[in-house]
Amino acid sequence: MSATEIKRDITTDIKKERFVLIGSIVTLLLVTVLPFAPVHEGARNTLSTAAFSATVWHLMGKFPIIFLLVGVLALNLLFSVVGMSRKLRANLILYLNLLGLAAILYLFLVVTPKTPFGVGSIILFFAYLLFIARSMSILGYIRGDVFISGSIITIGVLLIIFIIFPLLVILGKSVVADGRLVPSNFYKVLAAYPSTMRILKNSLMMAVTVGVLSTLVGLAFALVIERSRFSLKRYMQGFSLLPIITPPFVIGLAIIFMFGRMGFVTHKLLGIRTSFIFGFPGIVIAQTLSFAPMSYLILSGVVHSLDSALEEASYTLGAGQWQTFKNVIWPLIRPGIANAFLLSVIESLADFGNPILLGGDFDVLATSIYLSIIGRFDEVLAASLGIILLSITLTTFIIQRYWVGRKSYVTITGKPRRQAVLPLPKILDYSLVGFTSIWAIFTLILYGSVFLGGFVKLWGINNSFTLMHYKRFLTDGLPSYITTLKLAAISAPLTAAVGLLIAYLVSRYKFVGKQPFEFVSMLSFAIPGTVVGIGYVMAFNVPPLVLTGTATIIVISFIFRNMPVGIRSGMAALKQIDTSLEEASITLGASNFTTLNRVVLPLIKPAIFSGLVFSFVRAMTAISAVIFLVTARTKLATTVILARIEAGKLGVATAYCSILIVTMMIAILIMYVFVRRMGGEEAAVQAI
Amino acid sequence: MSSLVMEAADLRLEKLSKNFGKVQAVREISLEIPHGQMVTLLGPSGCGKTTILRMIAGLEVPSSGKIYLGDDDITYLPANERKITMVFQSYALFPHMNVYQNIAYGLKVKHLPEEQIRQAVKEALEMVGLSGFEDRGSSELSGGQQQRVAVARALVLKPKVLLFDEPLSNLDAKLRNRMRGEIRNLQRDLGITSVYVTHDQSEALAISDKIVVMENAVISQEGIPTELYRHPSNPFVADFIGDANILKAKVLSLEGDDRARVEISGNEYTVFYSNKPEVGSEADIMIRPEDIQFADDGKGKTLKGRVEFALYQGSNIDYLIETEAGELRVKDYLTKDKFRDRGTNVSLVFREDEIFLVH
Ligand SMILES: Nc1ncnc2c1ncn2[C@@H]1O[C@H](COP(=O)(O)OP(=O)(O)OP(=O)(O)O)[C@@H](O)[C@H]1O
Ligand SMILES: [Mg+2]
Repeated sequence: MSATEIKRDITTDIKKERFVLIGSIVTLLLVTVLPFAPVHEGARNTLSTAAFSATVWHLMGKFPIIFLLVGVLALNLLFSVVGMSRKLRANLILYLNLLGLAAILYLFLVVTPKTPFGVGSIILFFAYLLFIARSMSILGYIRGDVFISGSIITIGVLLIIFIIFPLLVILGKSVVADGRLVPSNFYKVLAAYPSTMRILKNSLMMAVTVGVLSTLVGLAFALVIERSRFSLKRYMQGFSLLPIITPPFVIGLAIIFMFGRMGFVTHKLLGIRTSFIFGFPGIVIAQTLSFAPMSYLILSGVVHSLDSALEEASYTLGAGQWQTFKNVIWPLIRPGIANAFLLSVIESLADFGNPILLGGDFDVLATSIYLSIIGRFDEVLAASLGIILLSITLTTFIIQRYWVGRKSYVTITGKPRRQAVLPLPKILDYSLVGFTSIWAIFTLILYGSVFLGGFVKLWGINNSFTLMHYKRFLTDGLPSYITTLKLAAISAPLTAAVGLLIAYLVSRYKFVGKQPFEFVSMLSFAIPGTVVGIGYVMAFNVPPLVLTGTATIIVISFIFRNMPVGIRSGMAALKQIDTSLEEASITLGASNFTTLNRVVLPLIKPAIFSGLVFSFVRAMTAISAVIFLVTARTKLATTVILARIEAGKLGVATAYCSILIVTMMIAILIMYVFVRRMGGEEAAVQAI
Repeated sequence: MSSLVMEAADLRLEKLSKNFGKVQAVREISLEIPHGQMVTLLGPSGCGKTTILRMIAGLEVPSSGKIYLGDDDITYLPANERKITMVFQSYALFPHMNVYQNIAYGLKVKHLPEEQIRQAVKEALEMVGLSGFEDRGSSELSGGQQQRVAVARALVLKPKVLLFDEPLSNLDAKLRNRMRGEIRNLQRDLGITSVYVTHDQSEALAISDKIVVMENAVISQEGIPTELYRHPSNPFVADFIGDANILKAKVLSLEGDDRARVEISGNEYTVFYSNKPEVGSEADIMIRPEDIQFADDGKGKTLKGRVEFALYQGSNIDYLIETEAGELRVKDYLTKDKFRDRGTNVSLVFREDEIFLVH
């Protein structure tokens, strides 16, 4: 035992705490220099540097708390250079910065509740957080170094601010009246609004119908592409996936061109003038076209992983085709079907573009929320409708995730699969091939009509060729087009990075609160865009965080809305990587960050690519949330297209849509080349 | 070779424990790993070997206890600052890097000059006999070659301690034997302190300076290979290391301070013990199958029995023989030309020096 006592505690070192030292110096410099930097976007929002000077230097005289804020940084400097044991130092820095955090929150929430956070204060806030993260990783509260603990804490705080907080604000709007909690307010508002029940009924009817139809169409495509004898089936896949990269109004416009009052089918071929398409039928057709690709993707995975040996075993045990289907195949694909159905239901309820275009009198929740803000300026009604919509999608999401998700039998064993798959029964095969071919041709015609629609003077009335719409685009649409491109290009890499980082943290590290962390980060999939939109407007229009009217809030909404795709593909990719690779890297002396950078990222290139593509495409095609966030200076493509459609200028809208589609295809190609350059040729091919 | 001689240090574990929720994977293990030695952790699946190794590497934080490297307490030192490297069961070669890049990885991370890295990698490759393989992708190597790259990658950093987690379990039997020898030679030549985890007792016997037998999260016995093999201190170790026949015996008297007079099925023997038995009690004795011989002439302290089965093995014949003392396994090397078929009546004698009282 005496031998033990003379052992030196290696953690008692006199080495400086470099991270906190340098971090504190940089923070001090930034908060001192920033007030003198030129002012950017308007004076009174969070991002303006002016707001910072207002909140820090200006208040200096009035509130001694400012000295505390800077004092914390100064003490950080002191503690990080004076020699002491690692543990003591970490504890000191931890409590010191917790104090700083409390002080800054106290300042903004209690002392000056009318002043928004400024850039400087935000820098201070995150600096404190990072120093806390650093000490927590030294003290072993979170495994991993400051990169890991810092990411967990920072992302956790951002999730609370940009996902939880807006939802709470909406909830607050509908149940708080005159500063008091009045839960009955929620019912009163909805009861006072005459259409509540009708809207609810409409939404549910639409969602269930679309859920069933898009699941069936997806299943038909999955069966044909995975199991048919039909040799042209390979080309089918491309068509079936096209709607994924399509701006929201394209299918709606195409349906108007085909079946509207001047529609090619209705007017030209059948010679009738009818508006039957506006309402339930139109929405259902458009949404089924839009969401069938997603259910195809889900179901093709399920059908693909059906082991034909199981079927063969069933046959050798004396079962016929029908019995085999009923007792073997159906139970295996049932969870996948439930999955596709539930996710289509969520998408349908959340969809804003198709109902606003084709809905006519058929109001649904997503559009009513928009109209109650834009038309009636009734925030409380919007919030209450939003809560109804949210509770339906959330319930569906939870059922999908915790009930169906658990039951999935699909497993990747890594065993070599038999090459040949058992073909479908003949009759089924032929009828499915027939159906999917018609569907594919239908899709093709719709897209063709949109493309053509951009080149004719007035669809159905004056069909002569013109470039007028494209010329109009140059004057009317170009600025918003450039803004959209810029914001999508900024947000795509950020979204992919945040998504992959979350996937990495969740699948590789244990930490307190990991389950809610993961749940909330996937949650945004289940929050309809319109709800996010009103939530952001209500939450970030007033201090402490004033962000409305900026491009930043649009980028933030893109990041937090589109993150789940990156998370999911990241988690799937990480599951394939043996953790011993990362452990090997660590034992060879690499930090967590280096390991992520040099070992993990190169191995999950396909996930990076799909994360990039999806976030880019979804940013380019977003409408439901951003429609509340755009301003005259930050118009986006989709909102401009919607405005043109509402003004009856379908030609320009169509031209704009075609340009967007082409843009996205080019962008995907560029990203593909870029990811391939990074070395992962195979990976890039795989991702596509 | 010379520049790669390691700055090995001795490693000490002190009352090390690790809980995963309710599972106690390691319970209060104390262990000394002397400078330059190869110590093997041996035990059945799930007994906590890997967990100990991972705590030494810094990949797992102990629930309690301490780890010392030389004079330093490294219990909470991050893995990447420990100078302890590890050879993984799956090799864990980075699939997107070639052989050179894999081996150079740890040096690159340290930002050493390119020239120095090249030199070190070259030496490491020479050492494991893979010169000229620099540009091969890691998937273009055989299992044994991958294994060598993994060893070179761990060695090139001149670690203070080298850890092996069942490094040979993915190789076929022949190659396994060969790699055992190579690893042992390298470790000795470089004088590097090593901890080696395996559940293969013959591997442990072959390469270790010291073997630590584990059972259910605790150490069952530790010692040099010959001692463990000949004088296991309990039936578990006896059975786990090599084949063992465990028989009941009656303790008649004690002789000197390490032997006892015992009676087994009517015969009396003088045997060694490690834990002093009580006179008059029942005790377990252990005898290895190769230390039982046939006494066809019926001379000596014989035990009568009948062959239950006989398996021809080439170098010997394995028998299972039903006797009044119980079933005995016998490995017959001496009279292997004579095959005693099922049902044959036989007489057996024990090599008295090799009987050991295990409890
Ligand atoms: N990360 C973990 N979480 C929970 N339990 C664990 C974890 N790692 C190991 N265990 C448990 O701890 C015990 C010891 O595991 P360990 O991997 O150390 O065994 P081992 O001796 O290496 O076995 P094997 O020979 O099979 O590799 C086992 O019961 C195992 O289930
Ligand atoms: Mg193990």
